[in-house]
Amino acid sequence: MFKDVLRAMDFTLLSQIALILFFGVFVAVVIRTWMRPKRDMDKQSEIPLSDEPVEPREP
Amino acid sequence: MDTALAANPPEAAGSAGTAPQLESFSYDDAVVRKFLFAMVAWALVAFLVGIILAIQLPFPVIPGTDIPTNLGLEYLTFGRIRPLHTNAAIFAFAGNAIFAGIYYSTQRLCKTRMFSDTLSNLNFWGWQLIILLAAITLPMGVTQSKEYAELEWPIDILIAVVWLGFFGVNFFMTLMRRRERHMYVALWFYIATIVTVTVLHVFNNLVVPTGILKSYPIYAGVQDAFMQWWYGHNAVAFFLTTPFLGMMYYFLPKQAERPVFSYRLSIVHFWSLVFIYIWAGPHHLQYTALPDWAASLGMLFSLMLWMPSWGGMVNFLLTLRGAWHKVASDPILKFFVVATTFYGMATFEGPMLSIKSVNALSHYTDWTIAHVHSGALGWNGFLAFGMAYFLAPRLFQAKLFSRKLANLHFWLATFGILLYIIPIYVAGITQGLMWRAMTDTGVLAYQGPTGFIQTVEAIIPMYVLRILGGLAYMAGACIGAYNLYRTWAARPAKYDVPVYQAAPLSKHYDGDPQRPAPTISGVTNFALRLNVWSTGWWHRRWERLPMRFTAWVVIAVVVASLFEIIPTFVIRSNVPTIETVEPYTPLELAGRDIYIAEGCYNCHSQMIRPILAEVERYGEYSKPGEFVYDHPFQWGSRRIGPDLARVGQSNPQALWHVLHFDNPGEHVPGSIMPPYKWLLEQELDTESIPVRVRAIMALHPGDKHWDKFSFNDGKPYPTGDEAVEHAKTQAAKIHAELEEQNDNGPYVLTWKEKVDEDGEVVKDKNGKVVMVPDKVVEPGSKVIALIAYLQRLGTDLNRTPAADDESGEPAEATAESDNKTATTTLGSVGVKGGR
Repeated sequence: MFKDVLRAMDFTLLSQIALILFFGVFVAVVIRTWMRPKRDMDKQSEIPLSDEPVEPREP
Repeated sequence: MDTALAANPPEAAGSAGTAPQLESFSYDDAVVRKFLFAMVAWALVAFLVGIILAIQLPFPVIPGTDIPTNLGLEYLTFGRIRPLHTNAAIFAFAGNAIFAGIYYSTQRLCKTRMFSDTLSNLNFWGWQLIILLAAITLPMGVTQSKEYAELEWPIDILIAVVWLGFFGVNFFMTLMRRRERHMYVALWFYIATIVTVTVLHVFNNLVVPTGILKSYPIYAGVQDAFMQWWYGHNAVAFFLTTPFLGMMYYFLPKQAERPVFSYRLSIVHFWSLVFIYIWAGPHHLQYTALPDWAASLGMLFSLMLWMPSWGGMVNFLLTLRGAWHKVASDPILKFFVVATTFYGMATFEGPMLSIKSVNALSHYTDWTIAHVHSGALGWNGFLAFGMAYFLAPRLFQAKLFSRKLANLHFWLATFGILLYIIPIYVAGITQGLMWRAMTDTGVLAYQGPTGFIQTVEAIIPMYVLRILGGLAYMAGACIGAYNLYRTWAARPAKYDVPVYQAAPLSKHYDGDPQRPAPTISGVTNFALRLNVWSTGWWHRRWERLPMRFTAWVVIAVVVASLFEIIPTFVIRSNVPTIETVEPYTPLELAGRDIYIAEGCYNCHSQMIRPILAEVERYGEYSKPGEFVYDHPFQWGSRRIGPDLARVGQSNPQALWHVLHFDNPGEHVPGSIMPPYKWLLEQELDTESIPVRVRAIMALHPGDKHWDKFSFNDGKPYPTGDEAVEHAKTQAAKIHAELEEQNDNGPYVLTWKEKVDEDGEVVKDKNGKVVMVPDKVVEPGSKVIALIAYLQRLGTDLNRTPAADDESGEPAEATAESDNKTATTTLGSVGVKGGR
């Protein structure tokens, strides 16, 4: 039964679905990332500059 | 452990009872120092072995002598030490660089000590043990023959334990205990590295052991090739790219003393790599027997990779905005800038090489070798050494011994790498064009063995230049090692360990964005939810939750993999079964294992692509169904010598092969293959044949050839003692062929003086000592088994099919790639007959 189902499936469609899915997620990530406030981004990008904890930190 | 409470919490801690107590902690730099030493030491080893290999190609014998460059030692042949070079460069040099960089930066990005000093040390010593075991087993010919996954199964288990059990646990527990709420993007890259390498390593190394030092992969042929390059490509992605990107995102802003140009871009860089890289593996198999859709998909995703990679490169370069004046004087930034440039070059070149028409030319040539060296020496090497110069003064608490020497290292390395890769690009393109060159009359311009030799001779000058480039790069590394050593020598008697204080993160975090209300109405519940979800309010929350974040990375990687793996394994038309393809005989199987152990795949492919020039040169192109018993596949990735997929048809003569193994350069003038005299002398291990046979049978349960095997007169496949007997009979037959072809005499390896019954040396009538054979090629020697395998290679396609039991008619034996006429079953390992 399972074998028959597998045989009947057209797996080549998978590649197209995957392409659309992954490209979609990628676009979503880009949009989301650019919507983030600049203040947060600047603060986060400065984390490596100091070896010591910089206060005030997010609690 | 790091959480000793401060004895005297400063007043700044706030009013009693409400604010958390301050904790004191220090960073564990001792383990970073260890990894740094190991990185430099193994770099020198990897470069040295590389130079030895580079010398062996243009100079198979030491000039002016008959002594082979491998000194006649099997342990030093190209096929065996090429994996040693790649493993040393990737896992020893780059591996230790990764650990040094991650251990240093993670603690500082998390504002906490590593979770466990014991795990850190187990990580260090465990990794060095793995490298040592690799350095011992690979020259011994103990190999799985999968590129960058050559190490045998006991070492693979050790790798899994050290990587995930020691390093992974230590890293993730450190994340859990961090005192910085936001996980900086470098940490994301480290997370992706740890989880993806684990997945790749485990699934590419699933094997059936036949002993402590030998195993067969559970996959065969097309599927094995697919899994291997899924692994191989992503080893580059997640071992040589993502951790180094994470390190660049940490060390470059540190040294430039300014934050990364665009933190947003770094986030996009991360996610696009995680989503796209994993797909690109099949581009290593363009025009092979891998299904075309998979290869096309690999190409498409490779092209997509170009953008995020260049986004990253631009981000690094722009981080230096306003700091370019520092680059001129600061050797560390110089190293970082060149590393970034090579990252950009290599990530442009990779997608380009994945384009089918480019790949048709470049594949199997030195172009690939140039590409990987621009990545490994240019990107990884420059970043690793730049990082070493950054770390040395901080770790050894002494001023860098010499800035001048660091600059000299930089210039030597830059000159060296250019002198290395440019000639090799020329060599690769030259050879690719010569292989496909046709005359006006439509025949190969360089055909036959002599033609192939001409294509080799044309690139020898480039091989010589490459040695010089490699020497320059290594000279730079030696200077670097000396500079670092002198810096270390000036260290204080006791290292100062700064103690920092910070409050732990509160268990409950209130800073997350709240779930917003939907901005639309009058729609279904699902649409409402989608509307809320699309605001991305949740992203902010789970990017600081290490476990959830990790889970998403794993899902992205696994889903992408499954999209490719499932069809490859399930679609039956991917591997049409060819009726005349049967398992190897016991002797051929043993011979095949010698082929694997000697690393023949490092120089010879077994994959004829459906390209006119290849079919003309090597014969009918390879069909997926021909490889169903190939555990592991031996398609190879480089043609330093010719393809061997149909050598059984084109060159089956036993004597030719014996003469060739004895002295390739003499038998085929101009050949750069080293002699394999030991194959003629050493005895084949027949004792292990039954267990090898049993393992292959276990991998193909229910295969009809176990009951009816053409090479055993239609009787069942021989097992146990019968397998040994079968092997000996086949060996005796080949040995008889050999002696017949050798003027009906034994193939003599060494001679001795003839002595009479009294022990006197016999002389002829002219007073000359009479010589008689001392050692000869015996039927039980390794070379006979190897010849058995070579004689079989590529011949099944043209065998007369066995008569069909029921009808008495021959079974269909055609093997058209379009599968219109081939007899098919659900043709893959484990599937065939099994389900």
